[in-house]
Amino acid sequence: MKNKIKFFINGKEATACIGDTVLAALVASGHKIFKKSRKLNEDRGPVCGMGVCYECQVSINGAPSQRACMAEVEDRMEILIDAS
Amino acid sequence: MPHKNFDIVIVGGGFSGILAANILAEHALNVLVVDENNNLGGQFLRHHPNQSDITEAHSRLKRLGLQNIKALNEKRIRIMTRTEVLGITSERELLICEAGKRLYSVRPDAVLLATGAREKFVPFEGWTLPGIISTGATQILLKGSRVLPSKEIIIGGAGIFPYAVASEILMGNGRVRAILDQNHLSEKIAIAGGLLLEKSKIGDGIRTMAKLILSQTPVKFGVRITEASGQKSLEEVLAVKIDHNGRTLPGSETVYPCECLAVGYGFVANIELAQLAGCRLEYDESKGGWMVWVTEDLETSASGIFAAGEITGIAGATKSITEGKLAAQAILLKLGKISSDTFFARSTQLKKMRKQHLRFGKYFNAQHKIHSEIIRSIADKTIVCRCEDITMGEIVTAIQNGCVTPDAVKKAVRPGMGICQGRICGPIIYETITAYKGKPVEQVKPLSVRVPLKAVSLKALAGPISKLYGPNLITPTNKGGKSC
Amino acid sequence: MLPRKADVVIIGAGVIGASIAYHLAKENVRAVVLEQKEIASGSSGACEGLLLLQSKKPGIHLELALESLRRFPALAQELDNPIEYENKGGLVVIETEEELSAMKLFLDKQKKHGVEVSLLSKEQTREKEPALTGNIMGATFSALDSQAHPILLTFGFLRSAQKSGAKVFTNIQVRDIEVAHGRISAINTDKGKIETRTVINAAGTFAAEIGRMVNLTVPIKPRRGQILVTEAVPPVLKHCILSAMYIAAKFNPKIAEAGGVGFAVEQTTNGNILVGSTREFVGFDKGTTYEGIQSIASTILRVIPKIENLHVIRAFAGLRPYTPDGLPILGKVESLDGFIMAAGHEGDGITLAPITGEMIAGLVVTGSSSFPLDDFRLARFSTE
Repeated sequence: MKNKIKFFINGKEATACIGDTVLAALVASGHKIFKKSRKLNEDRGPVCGMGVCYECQVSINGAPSQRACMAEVEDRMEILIDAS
Repeated sequence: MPHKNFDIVIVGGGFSGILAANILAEHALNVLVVDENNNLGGQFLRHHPNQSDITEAHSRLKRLGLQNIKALNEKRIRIMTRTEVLGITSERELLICEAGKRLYSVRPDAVLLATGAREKFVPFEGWTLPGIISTGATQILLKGSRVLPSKEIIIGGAGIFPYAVASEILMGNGRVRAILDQNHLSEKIAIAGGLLLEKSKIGDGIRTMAKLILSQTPVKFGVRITEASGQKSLEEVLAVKIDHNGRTLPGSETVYPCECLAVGYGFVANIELAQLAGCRLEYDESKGGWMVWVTEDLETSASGIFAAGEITGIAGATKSITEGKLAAQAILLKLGKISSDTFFARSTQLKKMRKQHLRFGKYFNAQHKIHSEIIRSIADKTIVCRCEDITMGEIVTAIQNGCVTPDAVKKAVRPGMGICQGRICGPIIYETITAYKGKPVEQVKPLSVRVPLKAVSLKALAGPISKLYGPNLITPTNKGGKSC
Repeated sequence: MLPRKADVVIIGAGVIGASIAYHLAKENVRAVVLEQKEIASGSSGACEGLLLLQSKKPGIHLELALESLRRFPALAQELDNPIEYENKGGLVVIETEEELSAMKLFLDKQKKHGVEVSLLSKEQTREKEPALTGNIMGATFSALDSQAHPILLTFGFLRSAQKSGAKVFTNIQVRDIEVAHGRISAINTDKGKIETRTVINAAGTFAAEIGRMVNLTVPIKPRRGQILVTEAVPPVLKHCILSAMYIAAKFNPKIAEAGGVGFAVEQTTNGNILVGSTREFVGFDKGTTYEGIQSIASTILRVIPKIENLHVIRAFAGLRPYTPDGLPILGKVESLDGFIMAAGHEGDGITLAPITGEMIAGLVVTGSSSFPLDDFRLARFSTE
């Protein structure tokens, strides 16, 4: 696959193609649980894939609550999934 | 150098937006296209960057779309991707936010709203488990990145879209364990009438069915998913058979072990921007629910604001293409760039085609109708508002205590007060009100909307707000920051 | 069914009307509450829930607030539903030398009225509230400042009153008020007539309109305040926080007009952060403005930059019932027997709701209030 880039998920190195969304890269790496729900603290994962539901929120380069489905992976991007 | 105001702002870079933009750009107009995604194309034209070359492998529609995007990028218009519209007034003053960071205001002579649609969700117990995804999200992952959410997927829901997604999963070398179709076979066959109206779709339909038959994908009709369960994520799905009124047939429970369920129950038009601008809305079941009302020239009730595509009626890509073209002509007429004779000549055929598309839409949308029986039998502890964890039981209690509008329910028990701003739960709330109160849906207005129309950081809102002139941008003014 | 007769009719089911109904019910008087729209659909449903001593004018205003605040802990226990009462303590942030001088004077006056407020240095302030930036000079602190949920409080009052027999009618318009021999005799609505000898005007921003029905000039007008609401997050702010400018703008129209708005910020029990607010005279326009929103956002980030990445998920505006001297209009109206005023609390309605309800109920039942009402008479605006 051409145009591969390196990025980090919770500190661990991973690869993706230029043009992939962060969501696609995370799903490809096997991540299912992205965050906890507000009140009941239940595990949540991506649902709509197009920026509406906000269930795929992750931290991107230090900025919290970013929608993984709307962001494109960039070189050396640091993604933190806070499902704790 | 004097700066010129934008003549027209097009919100949404899907089929209708880009078709309109290409036509308008030919007429020495200052055109701005904004889209919230990273690339133009909306949902239908999502593609992997490695696949942006237009080849014969693409369908005719896809080729048309990609050609239009290519042409647009070569024209002297301004395109802003990753840009969301936060507000609009009835005088067409827009507040937009680029990349979640920079605020601009723009006040064009005309606005074309082409904001498309999102998926409708019908909750069932356990639907919030990780591993349950929408059919749309599945398609986006496949189209955009050739990623499968899982090797084996069960598909559930209603309508014909889930079948298209099933076929795409198979093409992506995934397995479809089963399709659990809430529609009965007779309801499914009814779509054939619609396909005769849109012959272009027949080919796609046949190819899809062929793929599913050849792969021996089990398809079950008249089956409703009632529960999903699992420890940390999805492990199994429970489905029941329903009669033609949506009532569960006792003893028909079937358990399907699976790790990934893709559900799709139809579509909801993204009418929020039109609503905020004060445009008249209409409820039309044949169009798919709450829509933006437009004249036959696609102008809304707010002068100078036009609408095209799924927000004037859900009927797919061909309608969006026709309406993009029609809206462009109507805007040219409005801005005095063409005569009414020219408009008549150009628009007559388009209007005829539009009527045909709407007739197809009627068949398409009939498959997404939700029986009140299904709504009423959603278990009390089922979460409806995912953002704030509000259950169906709490909502029903509020309705029974006198809350007869979505806004009243929202004030009483807080669904719709989360970060998605009611986009997921809103449609469910007014279906629930109608199911319990027996009030026809058209009398129950959608949730009201406010600025900011999309969640935006405090940092971005702190501004400054730069004025946007086209195609050049002036430097930030000292607008705002009035505190001392 | 609208009753034909009532001992007391309260116009307005906002927090004030609700509190009065509650306190009347405690004295076995069953009020009929008439609401033109929905419960808490006016000011009470579009405001922050700050219960502040520090924003009150030293004097009778402050004393009233002190009394009222004391009632909250018991109310939180008594009322049927939770009201999210939290006694967090409050900070008024000081950013400039002028603000420091002004706050020192304010502090002296507050102390003279028996209210414990202390002046904190920058370091002490930041120790109490780490989220605050180092660009401040300090703050004043009061342990009594608190917060509650305005809508839950309103519903709580009404539910309790209803349990004791009070009746609440929503979506009903008052058409006119009948007077016979200088005394209230009945109230006419679009759904029927109620004979009554006591009408309480708790109509908030609409109190002037009700006053006109009985030929009274009630100088209450709406003053808009825009508020931003962020997504719900785990606790970030430990206190209720205001800026010195917020208080100055409240009492000095010139400062408000010059665009100085200051800020008032609260993190609710649910976790959302509410940031306000503007002070605008725009009639009954409840719209938000791009400039207002931007002004509030930039103001708060100057002092709490830590929250800059939080998403604002909605903005709304509420109309405060403003009076020319910043004090509510409470009590009997001498010229008209049976007509009682209970409106004009501006931005202090939630704080003053308990004491207002108690005083007005006392007035109705025994003829005298638990607290002197002379400074709050409608007649004080008379030019005669």
